[in-house]
Amino acid sequence: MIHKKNRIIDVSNVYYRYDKETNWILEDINLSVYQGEWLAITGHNGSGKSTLAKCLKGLIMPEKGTISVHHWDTTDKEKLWDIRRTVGMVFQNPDNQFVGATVKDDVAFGMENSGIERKEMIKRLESSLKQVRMFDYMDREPHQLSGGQKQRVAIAGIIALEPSIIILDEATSMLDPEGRQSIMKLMRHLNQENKITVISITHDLEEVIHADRMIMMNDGKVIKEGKPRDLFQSTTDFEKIGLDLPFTIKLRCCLKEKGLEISDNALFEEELVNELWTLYSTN
Amino acid sequence: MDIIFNQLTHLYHPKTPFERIALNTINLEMASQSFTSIVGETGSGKSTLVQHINGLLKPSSGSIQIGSLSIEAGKKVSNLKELRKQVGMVFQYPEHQLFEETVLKDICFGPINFGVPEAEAERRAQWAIKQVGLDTDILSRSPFDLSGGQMRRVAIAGVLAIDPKVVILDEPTAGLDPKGRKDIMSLFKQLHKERQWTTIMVTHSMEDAAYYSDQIVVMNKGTVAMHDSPENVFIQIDELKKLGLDLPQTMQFLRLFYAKQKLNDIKPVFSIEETADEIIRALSGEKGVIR
Repeated sequence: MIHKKNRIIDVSNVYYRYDKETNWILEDINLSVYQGEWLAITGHNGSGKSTLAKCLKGLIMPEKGTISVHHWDTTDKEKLWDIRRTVGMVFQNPDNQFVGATVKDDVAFGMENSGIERKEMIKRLESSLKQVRMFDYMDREPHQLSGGQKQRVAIAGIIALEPSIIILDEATSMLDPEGRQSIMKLMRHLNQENKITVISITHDLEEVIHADRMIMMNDGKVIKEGKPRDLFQSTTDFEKIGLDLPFTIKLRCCLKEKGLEISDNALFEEELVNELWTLYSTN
Repeated sequence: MDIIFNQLTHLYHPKTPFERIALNTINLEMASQSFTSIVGETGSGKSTLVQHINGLLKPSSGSIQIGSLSIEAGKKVSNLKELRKQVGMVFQYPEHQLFEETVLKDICFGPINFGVPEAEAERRAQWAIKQVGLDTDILSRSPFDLSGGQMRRVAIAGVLAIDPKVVILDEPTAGLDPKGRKDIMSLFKQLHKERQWTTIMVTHSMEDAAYYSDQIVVMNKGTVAMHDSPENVFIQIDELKKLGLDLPQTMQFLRLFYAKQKLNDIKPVFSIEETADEIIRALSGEKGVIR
């Protein structure tokens, strides 16, 4: 259960642009992230999603407004390394984030940078590789791994630093279906069992419907925020900005247009199947 | 151009301790002007297969014929340049291969390389950029100042300018957002028809394979497990599962629906519209729910 009171990140009146001559990339962003939730951020390419993610990890600073993580302001130089350690980030391209010569080295790299002592490091190395099911691959080199396995190693490197938040920046978009499923399963586990807050920047609408909460961005602004079930009740806003809809929603709308008397509630396939079954059995 | 694989086998690292059979005695025909999708798990041999079509890889035994050109194991390929001109390839992330200072130069690179005079190459670039839905103004810009979607279109224009007869698409929509995916696939569908391409697409998307192809080749461990129309491939549910493949989302839904309704049925249906029609037909067929 997510308690709305436990805010872990606060973003208020944030503006960002690359230089003073250009348009805002982020314009008046206000949002909170709650402890333990799975938050999906979606929108077109260029809507500002990834820029926002970089702000949350303290990789870039807003021109106006404030961002705080665990009540630490990202502009506070003394707290910046604490913020970067507590916010892990998995990027899109598995090949661009593998820095070690082997799996083991790659996971150790972040811990070495954080000055974790050797005994503790070995302990965490083992446990994080076991969690991502890559323990048996400890001595492999990156070219011997699939894209999904490389992403799992990246996640091991992050959890070894014991973060409270993990940001997935389109982390599964370059993977095959099997790789994508393995990463999602792992992240659900980390979210539910380890209580890690997940912020997922994604185009995958089938992933979005499983989130606790979603934020829709367009042209650098947050245009919608809420539970997927509530937001997908009406499809006009999505259509207006040309965003695609999840399969169940598209089918639901199509059936309705063709005259079936069904509700605007179904979000998952099973729910629509059940509703169609009820419709059939009560007549 | 007809493409015929004849008893083709490809070995990786032949005659070393690491020797591995990547393709095993492939016999396959792809008819001129057809759209074929190649599906299969990662490592099943999809990319190895298509890389034989433009001579990037050569058969270890057997042969492949592309129109009147052929590549045989053990024989020197004399007309490789002609083959590369006839067979265009859109790799995964084609935008990573842009390198020139301007979009114009980048698009002209291919044709000039194949001996097309500069003036003619520029004329082709003008035409190609419009074909991919971009404005000719973009020709004078640096390819690196463009958005991801635009870069991908420029890379495709570069292939178009060579005017190939066979086009290989290796996961052409990877990394694009849903709208970008749809736009690029519609573009390929249109070009396939207008340019009379023989198109071969490697994909992980069962939806795209089902929706756009005339024929589907299912690869498994270096062999052809199935080669048939999308309708005939996707009704073999148990077989596909064994090969590690999903059904298109439309059919997955219908399966759930039929199971709940206790109907023993399976229909090869690939669009939302057809899926809705099938649901309505099934409901009204049973008890006349729809009046």
